[in-house]
Amino acid sequence: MNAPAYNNRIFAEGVHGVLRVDWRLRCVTPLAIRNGLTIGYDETKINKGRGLGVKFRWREPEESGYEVAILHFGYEIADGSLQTYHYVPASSLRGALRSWTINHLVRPEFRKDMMPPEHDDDPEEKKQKAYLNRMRTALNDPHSGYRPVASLFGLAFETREEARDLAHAGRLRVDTKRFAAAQPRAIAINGKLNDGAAGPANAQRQMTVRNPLDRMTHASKEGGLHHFLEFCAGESFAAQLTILNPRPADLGLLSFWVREMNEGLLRLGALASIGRGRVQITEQSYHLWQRADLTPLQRFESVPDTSTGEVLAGLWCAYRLEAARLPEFESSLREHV
Amino acid sequence: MEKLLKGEGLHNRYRIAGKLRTISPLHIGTGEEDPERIPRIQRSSRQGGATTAVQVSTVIKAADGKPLIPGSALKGVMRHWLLNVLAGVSPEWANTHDDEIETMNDLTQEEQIAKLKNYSWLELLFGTPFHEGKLEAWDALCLTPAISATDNLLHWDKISLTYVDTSVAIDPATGTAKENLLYKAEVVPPGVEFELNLTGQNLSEDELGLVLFALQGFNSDLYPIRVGSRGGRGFGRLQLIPGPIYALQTAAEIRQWIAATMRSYRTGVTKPEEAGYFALPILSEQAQTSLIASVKHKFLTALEARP
Repeated sequence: MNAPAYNNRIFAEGVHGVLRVDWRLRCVTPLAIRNGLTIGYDETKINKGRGLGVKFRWREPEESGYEVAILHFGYEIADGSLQTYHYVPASSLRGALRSWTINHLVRPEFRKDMMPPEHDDDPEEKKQKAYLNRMRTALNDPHSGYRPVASLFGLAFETREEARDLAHAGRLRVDTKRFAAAQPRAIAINGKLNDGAAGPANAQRQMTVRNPLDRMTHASKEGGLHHFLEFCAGESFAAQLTILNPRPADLGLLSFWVREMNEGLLRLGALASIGRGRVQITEQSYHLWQRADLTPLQRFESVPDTSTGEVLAGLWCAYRLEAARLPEFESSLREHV
Repeated sequence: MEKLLKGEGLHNRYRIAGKLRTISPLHIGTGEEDPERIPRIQRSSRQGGATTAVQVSTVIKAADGKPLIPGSALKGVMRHWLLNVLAGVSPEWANTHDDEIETMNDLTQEEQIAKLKNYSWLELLFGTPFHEGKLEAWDALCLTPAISATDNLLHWDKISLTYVDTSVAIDPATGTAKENLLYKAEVVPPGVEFELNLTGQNLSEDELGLVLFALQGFNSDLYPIRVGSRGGRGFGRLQLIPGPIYALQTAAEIRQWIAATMRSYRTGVTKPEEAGYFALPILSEQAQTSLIASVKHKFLTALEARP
């Protein structure tokens, strides 16, 4: 018997509950979340103490000066002025979770060519249709592993009319908070803190240098020396994942994500191959709010709703899952692979 | 109160004022890109030395160059949130009849109106392809003044109160950035305030309660209303800061208001509080709370009545 085709009307019954996941993530190694920009710095020559004479200038580097790649930051308006702050964009975390899930849950034959085709001069319509057909094949196979990915992260296509039976928004929302500013806020160079102010002050950063070698001569490549900033190990930030209309398989995935992050196999940001981006989840909580007439997911226990001013209180009831019970949901993923 | 359409006389009218403040980045796009939003990239001589325009997706702005939240966006997200929350409660409260568009076209106007009166409160309030809704959402204009930046790394524009955010797509198969999928967009930062104005006419108590219930959705911690794009990655959160709700609720109040307004014109003494909206009675906070509680109670009753 043929399996039913993928149903993209995942919100046909509305939103009847949310799973709220709160994590605190601590950087075990330095973390490099960049934004493609560089700033300049001056370096006063000092006999001993490399890096002690560095003075950062929080603006674009001058043509003949030194430059260093900086980290992702944002602006906010507070107290009548524009302020800056460092944070890990939610898209970074979301993207890392999605990539890991595709690489570990989706069968190998369905992983190839699963990115949307590039916009180029070749006939685009033919490429879009081919991509659409590949996605439809993967989604209509209930054991491809792709359905949980699509359901959580959503599906979007350029050919909207033809993809009407597939496209939908995802059930996963990711929010991140700014770094907690628990450590000294300056930029460290070779283990020493630099006194000069340079941009957002809510996370400790360090300046690191890399120098590629020529494979043939084993000497330094000309122009290869480069500096970059990275968030120091020990910095931490909070993340909140919200899953609409949660299912047991979602919790199974969460369990894998937690384990893989804590084991260092699911990393954030750039330079993972040289040891960056490992985080540890130091605090985690799992709360479910669900419409009053519905039975909660198994293993969740009812708790008093202590929210104040929440408009959905009373309509939705509150439940909690002990974090230690999260792995019990991993077997729920079996039906999708 | 029976179900009324907007054009069935003037039975009551409300104006809900307030502010919306961004608490996360916001991008309500125009669908267009601006190649001059940031300076062109100068390629190195090895790369040909030419300058390359960088396309930046722009946010919707008012004539003064400041960002705005279109009334259609506000109305749309409120309707969407209500439909999602109430979809499983009862079709009396929230339903859609999009599949009836063709058959409705074949009916007379009287037949269409009779059918509309059996539609859900949500549809009556927000409108359908066959009738104008009773809720108007004005464009939310920006209240935050121009602010300068001490650095221009993110191409801060002090008039539009936007900076440029850069995103990249990573190919899961290779773990590297996907070519041609580096994209930039204007973003309104947290802390920017917009003026909220909603008006409603011929609203039943349940419909007014529904509107107030939906407005609280902006401040929901569990399932907040989000506006604009990238809601899945933290964008689009707004905090509602309630203002007064002006209410003309009875025929007597309407007559009194008209008389007071005309009197102020005759005497030539027009103080803001004696004419127009500002002379309207204000709905108390207690009354607002009571209206929200009433509709929530009815939602729960409807849930309990489900088979």
